[in-house]
Parts: sequence; structure tokens; C-alpha cells
Amino acid sequence: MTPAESIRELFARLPAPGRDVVWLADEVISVAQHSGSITLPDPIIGTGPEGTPDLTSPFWRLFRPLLARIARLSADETGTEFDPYHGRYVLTRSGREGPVHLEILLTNTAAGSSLRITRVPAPTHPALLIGNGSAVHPAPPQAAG
Amino acid sequence: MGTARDYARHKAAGFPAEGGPVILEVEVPIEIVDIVRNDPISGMTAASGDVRFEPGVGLDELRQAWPGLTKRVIPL
Repeated sequence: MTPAESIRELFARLPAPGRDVVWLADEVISVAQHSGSITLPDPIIGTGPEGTPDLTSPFWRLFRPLLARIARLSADETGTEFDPYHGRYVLTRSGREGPVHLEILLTNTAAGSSLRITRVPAPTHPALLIGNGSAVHPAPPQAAG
Repeated sequence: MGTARDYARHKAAGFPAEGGPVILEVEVPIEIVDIVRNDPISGMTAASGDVRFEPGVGLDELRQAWPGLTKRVIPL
């Protein structure tokens, strides 16, 4: 399943009784963490039969609160000031193949609202480098006995 | 979701010629807030601390009650 399909499936499940926007933001972040980069709005979610945005759809009714929550979550995690209207953040998560960075770019104004989460591998530190640039690797396990 | 103060300060930053940030505090009757809380979608935002009055979900009732509601402007 592609990230876009996962996001569409998530919004197709709404409303979710007993859930709130904090939960929804965590779900969106989780899709990016485990499936890959996402961009919202999406050509399909919240679109009416004529291809125009259906502002009464769950997606459009929840999108700006969702963006505000992602901004809040990101500001808290990165120790930066919360701005509900604009933001650029980098979160670190554990992906299936190692640590990943989620680069978040969001705009949340009456003039326009959008979200892009780009998943990239996080820089790794495979070995401890010492003074002359040589790497220190752990000793191989010794045979028993 | 952040505080009213956060929203006011950042909103005002986008409109520097409009006199600076304030919070408009309004006492909304609980029966109007409950319209939002009981809506399946708007209830999700309300459960997160953000009560949004939208067309068909409390906005008309809020407009009707508006002239009689207690309001206070809080300068920041």
C-alpha cells in the first residue's frame, strides 16, 4: 500500500468514535514514518464529484485542526516555538530499516493550507572515529571454550 | 492544540497594521457548545480542546445568540 493509499484509507474511516485530532495527527505521522512521504491535500481525499474540494467532507473539516496539532506536536518535540500558521520541522523516528527523519513543512492559513512530510534516512553513526580517522569497531565475539 | 494566546500573537504578526493581538473571550451557552461536541466530526476537534462553530454545526445558533452574549477583550 502506498503512503497516499494509507492516508486515503485513514480519512475514509472518519469519523472515528472516541478519537480526537491528537489521535489523527499521530496516525498521519505514523503513515509517513512507516510508509513514506505524504502530501496533503490529496487529489482524491475530500474531493467532490466535480473534482472540486468538498468543504463539508471530514477531511476539510479536520484539516486545519490537524495542521495545528502537527505544529504543536512538532514544536514540543523539537523545543521550538509553536506557530499554528506556519512551520518547518524535522522529527526523528524509528523506521523499519533504521532511524528516519520526517521533514515537515506546513501552512495553515485561511489563504491556503497544506502539509508535506518527507521521509529521509537519518544520518547514522556506524563507528566511533578516533584521532587519526580510523574507526573503532567492537571486537568480534570469541569462540567459547 | 496550543493556547488562545499563541493563536492571537501569531495571527497579529500577519496583520501588523491592525493594532496588535487581543483575545476576544465569549461566554457561549453550553447547549450551543454541545451541538459541536455531539457532532461526529466537530466532536473530534472539540475533544482536543478546539471548539469550532461551523455552518450547520452551531454557527447559526451562535450568531443568533451573539448580541446577548457576555464578551471581554483581553489585550496581550
